[in-house]
Amino acid sequence: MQGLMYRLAELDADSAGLVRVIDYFDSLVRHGADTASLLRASAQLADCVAGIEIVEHGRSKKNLRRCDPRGRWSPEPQLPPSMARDIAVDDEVLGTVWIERAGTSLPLDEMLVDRMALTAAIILQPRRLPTVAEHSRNLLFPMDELAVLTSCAGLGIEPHTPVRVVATKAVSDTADSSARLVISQDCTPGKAAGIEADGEYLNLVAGSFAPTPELSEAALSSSVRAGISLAAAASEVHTVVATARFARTQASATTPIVNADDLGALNLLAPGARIDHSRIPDLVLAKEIGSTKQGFELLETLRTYLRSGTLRAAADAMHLHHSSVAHRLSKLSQHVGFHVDTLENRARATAMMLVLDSG
Amino acid sequence: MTTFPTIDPELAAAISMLPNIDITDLPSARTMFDGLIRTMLADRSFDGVALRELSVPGRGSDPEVPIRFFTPDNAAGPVPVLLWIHGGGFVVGTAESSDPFCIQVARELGFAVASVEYRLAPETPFPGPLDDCYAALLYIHSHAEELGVDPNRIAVGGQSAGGGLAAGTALKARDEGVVPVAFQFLEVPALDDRLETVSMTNFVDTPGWTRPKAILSWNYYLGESYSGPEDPDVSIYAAPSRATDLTGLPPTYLAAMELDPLRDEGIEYALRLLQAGVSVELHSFPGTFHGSGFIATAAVSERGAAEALTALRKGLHSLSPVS
Repeated sequence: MQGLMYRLAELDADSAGLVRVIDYFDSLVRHGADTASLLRASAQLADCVAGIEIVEHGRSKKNLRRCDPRGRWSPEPQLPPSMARDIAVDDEVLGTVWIERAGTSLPLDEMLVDRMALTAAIILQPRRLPTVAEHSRNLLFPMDELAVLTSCAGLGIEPHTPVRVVATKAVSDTADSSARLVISQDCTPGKAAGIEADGEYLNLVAGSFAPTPELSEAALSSSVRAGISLAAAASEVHTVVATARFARTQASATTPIVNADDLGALNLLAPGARIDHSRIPDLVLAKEIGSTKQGFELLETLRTYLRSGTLRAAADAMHLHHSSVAHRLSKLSQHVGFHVDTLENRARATAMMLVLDSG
Repeated sequence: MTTFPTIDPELAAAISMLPNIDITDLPSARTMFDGLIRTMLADRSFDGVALRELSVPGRGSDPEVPIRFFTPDNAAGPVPVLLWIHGGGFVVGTAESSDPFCIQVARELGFAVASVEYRLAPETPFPGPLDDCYAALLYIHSHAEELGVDPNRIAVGGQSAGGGLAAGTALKARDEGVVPVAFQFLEVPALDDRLETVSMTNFVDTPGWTRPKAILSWNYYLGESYSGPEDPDVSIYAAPSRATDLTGLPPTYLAAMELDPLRDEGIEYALRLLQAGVSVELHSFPGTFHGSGFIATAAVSERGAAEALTALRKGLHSLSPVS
């Protein structure tokens, strides 16, 4: 009986579909497939003929095998390859894999032959598979988009899942430099593992992660400081690593764990990062309310307040009673999720207005 | 999710591509199953076989039982017949969903196959589904001449829940003494509602079938009066493992899958049949899971399918034809 399995044509050609294709071939490797089972499984998923030819030095006979989706070998007719890839290991070509799809190629065909070639290379020249820690590092510091998806598959994380990075470091060189925060496995997406990077310890956590009082307590008692990044999809988490590190540098004895969300537009000061404004919650909220007449008025009030320095001066400039200014600012605070008029938030509020004005 | 390192590579790859049929939501499980089956049946060919749709009397006041009756072309004289009972946890599936297998048996072994459209739980709990299977068996036997089959070479077989119904039908046939069942063909049968075996206890998130699904399925099948595994009133025809006497049952082929919660109840049943003097061929396939045979191109699935056909051929051919 055939058919109780999804085929390539039924998968969405988005990052989730790509991850499923990667996972399909990774499973073959993990469970010790040989080239025959690779070919049968490839033909089955592709739902068309799949082939492999292995170069054998010193032999003129072609080592060529083809298989159809029903597992039959050397099926007729033999169509020209619709897509092919070299099986390459360290610049040496060990052979070729291909599929023979009649008609139009599917969007995922390219990924399929890529993975066939990669899997064939591993079978022909066995290598160690990346560890969970290597996949985790790869996700945070990827070489390219394919590496990201490979690691999503390796860690069992849906590429769209919202995640954050936690950066941890000991307070000073005198403190125990190996001290780190213990983050519950329940808060960890998939099989992700913590990694060392440039003297910091980086953990992947779920997008909903928030530090508990116990965790802050633990940070204080073990003399570590931590920063939590802005949230991003797992496939894009590398773009927010810098915000975790930046937040960590802002942590202190009073706030041992800083959430980048609470830094607002100041995240844009994180060195070396290009942060998408839509990842910063207060900017998103401020933009939303700025599009209404009433919200625009609230933002104008904040602008005047920041320029004049005090409630009274702002009230004079706007010909309002100072309690009206205070009322508007507290209303705005509710909308954007932080107290826009307190001294400690002065920089954050100013940065928010700067960004709003610039774009 | 637990990873199962012993799973065969081809099956392991396919797992992530398998649809998850959730029997807690029966209407959508049935819709999903029917959709999948339609795709699967799209390219079936009836070459070399003839299909008749029969409707045979139900037991007592029960409605008629539809049967998909396959015969091989060019049959010379009465042929052996397999009464086939499809799987689906007692709650999903149709006789038609087994067409590819039935066609294969008719074409390759030259047997007739009677595929029973038994009523499904929970709408029809036990004994309705079993009575439908037994009614089909009685009919085939009593109308053997008209159907062109040999009444002394009748096998009863099924898969999963269908395997449990087949074992129940064989027990009932033994006890009623009307139909001599010549062979019992049990693929990954669901035999025991008590769910006490090691495999049934440990396999809570295996692909294909799990302990939670088994609990649900037995509750559907045994109906509202069922009080659970401790219930002393469960019939042996519903849960054949509860039968204490297995003597006098027909020769048996039983297939079990390594990572199937049903594995141990199948193996135990086979062992107890052997101990009761019944001739048994038992095969446990490595690296497999419940329903992994649907991934038909995997080498281990091909081996299982070939083994099953061979066992069936031997089971019904080794008898001397009636003079």
